Amino acid sequence: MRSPIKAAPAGGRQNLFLVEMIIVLLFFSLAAAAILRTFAAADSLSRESGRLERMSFCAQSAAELYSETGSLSETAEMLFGLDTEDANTVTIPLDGQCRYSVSDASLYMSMTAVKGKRDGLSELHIAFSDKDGETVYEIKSGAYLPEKEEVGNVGNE
Amino acid sequence: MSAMNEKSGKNRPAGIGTGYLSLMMIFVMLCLTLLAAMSLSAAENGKKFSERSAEYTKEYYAADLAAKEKLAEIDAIVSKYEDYGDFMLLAELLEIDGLKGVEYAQMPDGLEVSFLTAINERQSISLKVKFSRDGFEVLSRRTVSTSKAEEEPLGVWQGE
Repeated sequence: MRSPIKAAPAGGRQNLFLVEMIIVLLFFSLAAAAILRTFAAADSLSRESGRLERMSFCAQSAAELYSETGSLSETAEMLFGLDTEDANTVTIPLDGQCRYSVSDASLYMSMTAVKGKRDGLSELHIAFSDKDGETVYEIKSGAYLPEKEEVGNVGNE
Repeated sequence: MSAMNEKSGKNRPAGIGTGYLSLMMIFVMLCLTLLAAMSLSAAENGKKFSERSAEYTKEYYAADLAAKEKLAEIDAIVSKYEDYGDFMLLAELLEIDGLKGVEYAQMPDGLEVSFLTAINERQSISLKVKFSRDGFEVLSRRTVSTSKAEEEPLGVWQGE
């Protein structure tokens, strides 16, 4: 029995292939655009989380150094190798990797020392802000170094 | 025989047949969509973890500062007394001065004070300090769990 569907002639088959190819390319380009946007969003999220982690580690290092030294200039020197004046506030330009960089600064780390309620007690406010001046991460720490000959040996067990 | 082969060769479509392209495209798109979804999910999880970690760091150093403030407060009280021999009196004074949650123990050569400062609902910083004539010395500084769930025994079979 012969099939009711007639086989397409050679030229017609080629046309059908071309039409299919055009439809496939159109759909592919639309879907690829959506998928690329998803990949870009994932990349952006990944970059943000990396930056947050680096800021957190940097703040942690600064807090630990300050609790041992009680001095902003010493903290900045030990952390970034910077020779700063002994002031109450130090602002350090950082790049995306949280390294000291003036030319490629995308973050600004601001450390402010505030005298505490008791003698020898001081608070340290560490804030990270972006180029627009918006604070993206901040922590508060402190040091208690009473003015005695023998300072308390603070250490982790 | 060769004539038959030629005939069947004529019927076979040349190049890629119609429909294969669509099938290939569907497969590729499925793979790419899966990869993109997994990548986005991994990035979101990473971001959540980073945020939690950064938040914990913030809480930890806030608690550390509170512990140092309390230590400074205790040190200020202890420093007022020149006679370090009567530590029991000092202990009473510490209690009178309203320092809640501070435990103390009289030692032969000084006064041992320990207290907890909450980091969050589950963890605290435990600080143990010894005050003596030479000043103070931090004996231990640990992060301890204060979660109630860990204190409750698990409902597991203990054996006969």
